Amino acid sequence: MDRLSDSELTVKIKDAIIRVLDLDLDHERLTDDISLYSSVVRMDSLTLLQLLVTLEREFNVEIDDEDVMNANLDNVGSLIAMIRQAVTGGGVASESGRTA
Amino acid sequence: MEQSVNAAGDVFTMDPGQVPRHWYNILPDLDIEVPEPARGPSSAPLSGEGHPIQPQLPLSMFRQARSRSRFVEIPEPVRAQYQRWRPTPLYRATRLERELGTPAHIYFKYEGTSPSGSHKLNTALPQAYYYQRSGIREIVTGTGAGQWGSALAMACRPYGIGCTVFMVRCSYEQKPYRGVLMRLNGARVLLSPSEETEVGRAALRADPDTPGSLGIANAEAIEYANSRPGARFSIGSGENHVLLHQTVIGEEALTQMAMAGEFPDVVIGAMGAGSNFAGLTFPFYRAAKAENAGTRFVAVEPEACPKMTRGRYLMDHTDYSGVTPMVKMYTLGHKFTAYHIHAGGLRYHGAAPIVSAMYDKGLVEAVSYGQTRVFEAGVAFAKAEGIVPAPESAHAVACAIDEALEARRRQSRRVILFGLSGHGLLDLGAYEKYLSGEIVDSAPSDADIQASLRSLE
Repeated sequence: MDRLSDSELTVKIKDAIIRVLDLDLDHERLTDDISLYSSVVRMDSLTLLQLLVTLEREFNVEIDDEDVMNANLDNVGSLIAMIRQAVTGGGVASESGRTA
Repeated sequence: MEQSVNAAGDVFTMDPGQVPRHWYNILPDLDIEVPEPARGPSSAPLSGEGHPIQPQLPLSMFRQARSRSRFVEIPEPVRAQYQRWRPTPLYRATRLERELGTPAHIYFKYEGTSPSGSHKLNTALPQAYYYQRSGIREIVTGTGAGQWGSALAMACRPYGIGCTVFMVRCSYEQKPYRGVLMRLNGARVLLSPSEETEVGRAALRADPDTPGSLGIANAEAIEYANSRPGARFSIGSGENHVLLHQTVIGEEALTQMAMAGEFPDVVIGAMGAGSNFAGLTFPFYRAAKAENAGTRFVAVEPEACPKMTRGRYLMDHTDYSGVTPMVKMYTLGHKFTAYHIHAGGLRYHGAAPIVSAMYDKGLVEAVSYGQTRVFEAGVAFAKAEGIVPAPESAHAVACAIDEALEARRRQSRRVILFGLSGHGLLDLGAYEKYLSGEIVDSAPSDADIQASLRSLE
C-alpha cells in the first residue's frame, strides 16, 4: 500500500469505523471529540475489537495486545491516534496467535 | 515420536511430542452463518460520556476467534505447558461393553489426568499467557462447579497474575474442596451472589436464599474487574476462542481413534456452554465432513437446564446483569437460575453461538438427562472402568450407555466416542447422596421457561 498522508489515513480509519459500526453519518461529522460510548458511536468493548481486527486486515498490520489494553480510549480522536500509531509504526507483530 | 497401545488393546497413548501444534478453527468448514455479537440495550459496563473503553479480551484471542484460517498456531510456551500432561489417554471401555452386553465399541477421551482434573486447563493456560502479554495483572472470573476457577487459578500462578473467582454459592457448598484448590493456588474466592458487587447485592435482595447462577457470578466478576486497575474479566466456556483452545482434545483423539483403527459413528459430549462438547467434536466434524462419514454429534445437557432441547434461538446476554454484548444462542434467558443440581458446570443458561448455529441447522443433536439417571450411569461406569466421572461428564456417560444399549437392541455394530471431561474425586459428596437415595430430579416447567424468556421478547 502506498504511504497515506495523515489526513488520508484519518479518513480511511473513520470510514472503517462508520462501516463496521454501521453508523448513519459521513466521516466529516465523526469528529475527534465524540465519546465512543455516545449515542452517535455506540461502541462497546467487543465492537472495538471487531473494528481493530477489520483495520488490521485493511492495513495489513498486527496491533499489539498491550497497546490495546493500555490505550485510554474515550473518544474518536484517541481511537484514531492509536490506530494511526499502529499503522505508521508498522504495528508490532505478535509472536503467537498466528494462523497457518 | 511414540504411540502406544497397551497389551489389552484398550488404552491409546501418545508421546508429548505429539501434542498438537495448532488449534482447529471450525468456522471455515461451516457452510452456515454464525451471527456476530451485537450491542444490547444495556451493554457496555461503565457506559457514559468520557469513560474509556476497556476491552476484556486480548486482541490476539479475539483475532483467533474470528480467523478465516482452519488452524491457529499454539504458542510454544503454551504447548510446552500442555506437554506436562498431554496428550491425554483415549480408552476403549471394554469392561463397560461387556457389562452392557453390547456389540458397540465404546471409546472415551479422558481429560481427568490434567493437573486441575478437567479439560478447563486447556483454555486457562493460553488465556493466562495472552493476558500476561497484554500487561494484565489480575484476572477475574465466574465459575460454576469450580473446574474453570481451579484451572484458571493454576494457570495464573506461573505467570504471576492475580486471580479472583466468583463461585456459584450452591456449587461451593456442594464441592468445598474446589474452593480450597483455588485458594491454595493463590486465588481469592468469593461466594456468588456476594456483598462485594451491586449485582450480587441486588440478587441477594431479590432472593436471600438464591442458589446463585453462573450468569450472576459472571456479572459480578465483570463489575469487580471494571473497578480494579489492571484487572480484566475472563470466561471459560462458550466464547469462540475458548472452543478453539479446547480442540486439542479432538485433534489428539482423531490420531488415537486412527491408532484403534476405527472412526466414530457418534461423538458425545456433556454440554454446559459448549467448550467441552466442541473441543472433542469439532475436529471429528471436519474429518467426518471430508470423508462423508455420516457421524452424529450429540450434546448432553441436564433436564434442569435444558437450553438446547427446550430453549429458544435468540439474541441474549451471556451474563445475568445484561451488560455484555448480545449473542445469538439457544438460551433459557440470562435471568434463568437452574435448580442446584450437582453438575454445576452445566447450569449455564445459554449454549455457545457456534454450537447453537450448528444445532439450529441440524448439524448436531441434543438430549437431556435427569440427574438420577446421570449418577446411575456414573456409578456403572466407575464400577466397570475404575474411574469416577465428574457429574458433568457422567451426562456423556449416560448418553453413551443408551447408544450402546440401542446398538444391542438392533444388534448393530456402532462405534461410540464420548468425552470424559473430568474426574469426580472432588464430587464424592454428590455420589454419597446418590448412594443414600437423596438425589432427586428436577426440571423447569414450561411456564418457568416462558417467564424467563419473556424479558427477551
